[in-house]
Amino acid sequence: MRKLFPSYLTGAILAIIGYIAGSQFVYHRIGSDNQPAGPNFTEQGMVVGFALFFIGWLIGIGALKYPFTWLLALKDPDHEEEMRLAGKDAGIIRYFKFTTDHKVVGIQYLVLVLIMLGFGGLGALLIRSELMRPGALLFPTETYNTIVTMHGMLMILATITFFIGPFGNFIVPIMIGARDMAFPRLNALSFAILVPAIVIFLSIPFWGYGQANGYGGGVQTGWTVYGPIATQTGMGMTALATAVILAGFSSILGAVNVITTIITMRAPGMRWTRMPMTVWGIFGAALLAALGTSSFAVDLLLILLDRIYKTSFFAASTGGNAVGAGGGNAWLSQNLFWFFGHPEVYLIVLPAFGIVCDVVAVFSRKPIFSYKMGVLGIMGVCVVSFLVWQHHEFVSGWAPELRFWYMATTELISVPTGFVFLVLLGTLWRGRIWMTLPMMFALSFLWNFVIGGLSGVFLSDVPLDVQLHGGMFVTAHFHYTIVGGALMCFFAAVAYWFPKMTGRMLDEKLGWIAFWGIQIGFNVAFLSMFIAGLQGMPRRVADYDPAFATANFITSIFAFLLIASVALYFYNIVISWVAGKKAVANPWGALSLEWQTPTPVPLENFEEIPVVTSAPFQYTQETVEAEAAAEPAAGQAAG
Amino acid sequence: MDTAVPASGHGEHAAASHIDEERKVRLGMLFYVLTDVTFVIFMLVAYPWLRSYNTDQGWFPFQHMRLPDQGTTVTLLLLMVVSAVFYFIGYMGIRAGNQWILRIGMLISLVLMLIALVGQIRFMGSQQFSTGDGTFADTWLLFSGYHIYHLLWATFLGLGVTHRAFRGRYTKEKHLGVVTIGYFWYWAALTPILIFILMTALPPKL
Repeated sequence: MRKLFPSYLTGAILAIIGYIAGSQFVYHRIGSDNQPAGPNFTEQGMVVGFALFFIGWLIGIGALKYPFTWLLALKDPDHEEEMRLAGKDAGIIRYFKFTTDHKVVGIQYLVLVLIMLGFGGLGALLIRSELMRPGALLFPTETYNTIVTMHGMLMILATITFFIGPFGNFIVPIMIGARDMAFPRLNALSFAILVPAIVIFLSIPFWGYGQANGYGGGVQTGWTVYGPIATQTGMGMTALATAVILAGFSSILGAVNVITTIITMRAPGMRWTRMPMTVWGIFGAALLAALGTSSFAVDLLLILLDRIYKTSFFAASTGGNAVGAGGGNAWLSQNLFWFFGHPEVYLIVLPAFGIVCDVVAVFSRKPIFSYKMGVLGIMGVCVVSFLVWQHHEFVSGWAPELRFWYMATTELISVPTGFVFLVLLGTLWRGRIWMTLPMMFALSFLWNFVIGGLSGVFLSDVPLDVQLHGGMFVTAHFHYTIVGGALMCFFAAVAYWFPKMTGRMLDEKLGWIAFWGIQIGFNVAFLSMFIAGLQGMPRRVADYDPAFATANFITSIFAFLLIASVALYFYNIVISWVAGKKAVANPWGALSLEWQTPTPVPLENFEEIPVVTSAPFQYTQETVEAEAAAEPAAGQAAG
Repeated sequence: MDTAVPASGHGEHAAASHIDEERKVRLGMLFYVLTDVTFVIFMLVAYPWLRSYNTDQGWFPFQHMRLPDQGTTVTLLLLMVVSAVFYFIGYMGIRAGNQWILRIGMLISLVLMLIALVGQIRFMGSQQFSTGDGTFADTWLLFSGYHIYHLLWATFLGLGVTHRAFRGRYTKEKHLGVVTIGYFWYWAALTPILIFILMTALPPKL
């Protein structure tokens, strides 16, 4: 029982107490009404409640112990105490505590990401059920809009996290030959911040329904949460803004940690040109997260102030304290959002590029073709991604004279992306292809992301974008990049590193069934959505013209197949984790450092820090031939 | 990837052999400050943006509205600058191995920071305008609020570093905490200067 103090249980208890104390303090001591011209006390109470919910959580899990130890200049923890904090001899309870071991944090992230994807997938199921036939079938339009917003934002939060979180934490330090992340406590804190953020986010549908005053319930803005619509939508917006600011803070802290780890913690001999591509991809994504996230955080902060204190950053007129007050500008919100919003796509995709390169190299049994071109591609995308955001505003009326420039930069970004594809094709070329589950998902990334990328070139073109903007073509395009590209790569990464992270093999048979269900379901559903978009169907609508009925019906049916197959893959993860075949230390015969450690990986990863003497994936003709001779044994080991 | 002989022994000793701890912590803090810099930059963007658009004349709707007092603004700004200077003096002191210069420097910089914090809160609350009185008022209050957040954070860090200085936890050889917290301290002092320049370079009244 003592092990539960402090733990997530105590964190949850103090968080709830914190919320009640914070919100009640505002309602009873500051104000409880919601005058059009004065502060909105209802939502002020919410925000103060969320703030104390967050602080209560951090106190309850013991995350604030060290800052106050430092403040009081008490004794610094010794190595043994650090090991205890890292979960030494703590058993399974360490996964439910503030634990600093990067592998525990990686597993915590993986589980949270799967939960987030599960809720996001539930949203997709509801959306496609509603859109299966014309006519508002299942929900009032307000509820439908809230589901669309939550699905979009939750999936974005999940996909931003699903590489840097689980793999950036568990795998990257081992890949570079480090014992842990640069700042283990900060690492644990990043995850600890994300948990209440997601809890607050999932509470969105419950705020504001039946309120006599205020804006009503839910959030009806879509994931872009543009001001001033975001100021005028339901009370759920306040929960959304608070949750996403917290998630952004978690993302920034995690990014700072990842960047510092990669720069300063590499093993001797692990030069920049010897890092696996996964590390490059996660490094690029962390740079984007560190530099771009603030823009969206500022946008959300201004939205909160507009809602709660009746400022007018985004609304031309607010009905503030005097006639004529206002002066806000909606384009400010759009620019703040998209300055983050577009790099955010690459934040998701860059690690995918890196992971796919590594997986393809391992299962082609070849060194990566033109390693430096691949790195140039990843870092090139990283830089250019900050120069393209205005293409989202081609039809907003803002700065039409900049359209040509942004069309050019957006099309330019396909050049470094093309480098990565050339590297992948070059690596596959005349390789000894081993068709495992990770490899199949990596190959599906190639196919899907090409469609997503090419349809993106269409949308970067001003005349076409004017036609297609705000329609289902755009929705299909970004689902091809995020689901077809990044999510497939996430599945590849899970299948590839599952043995190292869990000590078990992922069931191949179930995996293959899920794989084909996912590919068929995804491609038919979203190719059909492209057709609906080309026919002119707008996005974010609960009802539509019967002219779009066939395309939507097909999309819904195959989306159900996709969702069922993803659920099967998740089931496979759970069942294999619990009762899968035991994995050997290096079932894939990979050469990167994480596979040279025992499974399960010891607390400090390496008994002795290795010295790296060559580039990654230096498969030679001799090693491949030797492996071919011993293939049956290798196959057996891989399960 | 080939690996050769191990770099060194086991545990933290192995890490110490090839990882420059000081570089690691400095870099981490610099990156953290950089993320705060980006946040401030995006916030500052709102000022010229809203001023230049002046939608429906809402930037400065009341021509009789009094602007924030320049004298108080400059005084609060100078407090921050002098605080940063004393912090730097304290840092130079411990670099030279002088504990007393460190302690006095940290203490004075902390006290100045606290005065700036209280002064900024009072200054913010004493304005003739409030939220909803046009976008100049909103941006001014936004910057003031964020500055107060900076001051609160700096005060927490300053309490820790001063307390540790008086407990003799820093030496000539080992004073990384003073260095890294200094990065934030100097940035917290620089921010109001940036805001002042912005608001002076672009006069509030159109």
